[in-house]
Amino acid sequence: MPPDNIRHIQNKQKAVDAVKQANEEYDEKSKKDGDSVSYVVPDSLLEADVKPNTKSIDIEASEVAAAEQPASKEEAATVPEEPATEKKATAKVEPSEEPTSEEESAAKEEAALEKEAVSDGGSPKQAVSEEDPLTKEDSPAVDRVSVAKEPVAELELRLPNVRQGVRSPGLVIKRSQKMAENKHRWEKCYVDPDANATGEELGIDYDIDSRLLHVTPSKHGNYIIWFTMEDPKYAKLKCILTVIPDPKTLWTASDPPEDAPYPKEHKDSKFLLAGKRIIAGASVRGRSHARDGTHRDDDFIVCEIVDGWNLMVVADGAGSAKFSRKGSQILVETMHSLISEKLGDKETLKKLNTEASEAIVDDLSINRAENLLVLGAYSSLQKIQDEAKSQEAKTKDFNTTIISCLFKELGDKTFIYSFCIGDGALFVVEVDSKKIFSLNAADSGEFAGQTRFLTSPEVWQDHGVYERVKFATVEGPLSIIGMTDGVSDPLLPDVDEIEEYAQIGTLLNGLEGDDSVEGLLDVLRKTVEKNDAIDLEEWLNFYVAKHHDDRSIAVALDPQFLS
Amino acid sequence: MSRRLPTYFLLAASGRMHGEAITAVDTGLQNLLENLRMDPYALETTWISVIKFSREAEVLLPLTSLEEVSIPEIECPISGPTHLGEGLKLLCDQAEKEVNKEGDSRDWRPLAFVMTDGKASDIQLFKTQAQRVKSIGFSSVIGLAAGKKAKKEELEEFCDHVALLETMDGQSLANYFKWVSDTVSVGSKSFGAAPELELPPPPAEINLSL
Repeated sequence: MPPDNIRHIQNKQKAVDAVKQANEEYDEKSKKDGDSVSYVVPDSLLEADVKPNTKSIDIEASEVAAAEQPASKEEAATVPEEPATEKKATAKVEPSEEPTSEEESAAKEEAALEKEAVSDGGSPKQAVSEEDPLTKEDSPAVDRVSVAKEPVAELELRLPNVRQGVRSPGLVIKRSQKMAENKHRWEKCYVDPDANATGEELGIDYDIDSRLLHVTPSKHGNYIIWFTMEDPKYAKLKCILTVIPDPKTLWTASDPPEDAPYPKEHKDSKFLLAGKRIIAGASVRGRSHARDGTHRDDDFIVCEIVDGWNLMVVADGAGSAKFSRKGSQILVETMHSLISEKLGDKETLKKLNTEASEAIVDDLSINRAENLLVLGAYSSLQKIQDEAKSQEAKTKDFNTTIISCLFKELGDKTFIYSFCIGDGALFVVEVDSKKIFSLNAADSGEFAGQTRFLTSPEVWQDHGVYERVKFATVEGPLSIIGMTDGVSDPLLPDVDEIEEYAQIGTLLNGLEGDDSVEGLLDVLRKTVEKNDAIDLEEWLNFYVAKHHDDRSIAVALDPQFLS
Repeated sequence: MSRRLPTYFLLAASGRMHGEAITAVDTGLQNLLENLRMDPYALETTWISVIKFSREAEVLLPLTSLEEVSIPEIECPISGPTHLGEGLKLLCDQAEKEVNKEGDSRDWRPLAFVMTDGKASDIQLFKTQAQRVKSIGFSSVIGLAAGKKAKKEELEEFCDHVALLETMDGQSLANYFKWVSDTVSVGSKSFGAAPELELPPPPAEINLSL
């Protein structure tokens, strides 16, 4: 007598092994056939020894040289210009103060980056010239300060890049040693008049006493910020600043051409109550396709079939397949129509009910070959092949994955069939004990982005396909959750199978931070309240950097899951 | 997965490049940065490294995120040989050190762009390193044979694609770098999903061999 009240997936290990083996054999074969070069991967990786790019010029020597230059304004006017000799000053970053690569502006403010302004070499510069836009008024004669006499150094400095829309970390604008000795400060700070931004647009916040500069730029681009002494003839510091665009603002959206074949709505959702069970599904076009002006390739279906049997399918059309949006659509529609048709037949329905109830009492005579999900998938494949022929296209142009589930309550138990090809996730959560187990076999290829599809020949050869059918019986309230990788990649850990409740924490409860994500539980509560899955559909637009795929999700929940 | 797309630039800075050519390369790189920063995929994933070579090879910029990068100006000696072997050796050393191949922070397979303007004068080293490049696991190595003295056959030994640029004037190099940034954009979008990187169409001045 098993201790749990969950009858775990039958022959799970065998099924997983069979699929894995089939995958491996196919990979081996294609390696031999292909012309790929075989590489030797080095065993060891040395730790990256990355230092910031630094070059520094000795400040003492150059200060002395500058101090020896001729001084008066008239003399300055006769000194020939030598623009070519201006060397760029360097930015020296103190490695010990550099925090991790995380862009927490708070953390960076603690360890303010220090920049040393380094003076130019001994080249005589016209610090004040007729064309100088910054000192148009007649300046008084040279300041007799002991550090440097006119013409004074014009210094240049490259600030570290900052991000549009956020307050930058604090940058200390240092003085040269001589300046510090003589208590001269950078008094004025302003944007170069030629720039296409005002000080306000860059959000300049400079504190003279602490010499700390913050910017909160509302625009991206390259800008020059000047610092001068109280007397601008004395010294000028030119700071070059690059503002990086906020990636979120780069996600534009456009529509595919009106005459493109196989149009599809950018989003869709459905909500229904099957007895007390809450069933909902949603699918949206990802930012990636929105930016490219292409279609949603994902699709889904959730519905009641008959006699308490319910169906959930999510499908991810392959990005590289030009008609995959039609492939995923044919799949979900055919699964629905075929399974409805079969279960509409009294004999078949009786057989399926018997099979389910026998499995529940431990008489495991499941006939995988006649499994409706497999038949539905196969029928979809045939329809796709026909469609491809009629369009003079290839079957693989319609490539799609499939995450499917057919289930029925029998008393206090639920009987579940599943059939999956490709990536994404499908798992069952037992509400009371919080036990969780996966129903999809991991189908990821060697490198990220590779997976199997409905139309992959290796899936259907031999009888490996039947090993993909899984079944389980679960006692007590439960939830079944299925999703395409557009949802699982950003919100679930990168593991082959979900096995612990803790692993779905982020999905259920959400993420805090700059790009926060609402938890699925809260979203589902709203859905139930409104009797409408529109919030679920909206939620699928959550922003997680680097994850911009189409997204689809289907859930079947016991109401206790949400309390 | 960290999903970084490491992108290496190995650039000849030989004596022959001194002057207009190297300035065009500098400008090209700057423009490349700006273009990539306007691409949200690239902005989120691309990391850049710049290595120059003449007699010796030098890392001008170790692998740095697109957001943080400021590319220093490339300096050319007045005269100097083209030690492509040294350049390739350093490229391979850096890639081995910097690219994460395993575990949670596994990178996408790196890209490399190699620009040369002359025949490699360190033949022995070149031959061994050209072989080594193939074992690093770059998703694509794209060569640019710039100018008449460049030897496309040498690049063909280790590159998947070789672009030929007849003259090294400002406009042609600018177009080349625009094409490079388009290629990186494609890479950052498809990153490894397709087995081979599909190149966008090159500009008029560039002929693709291979």
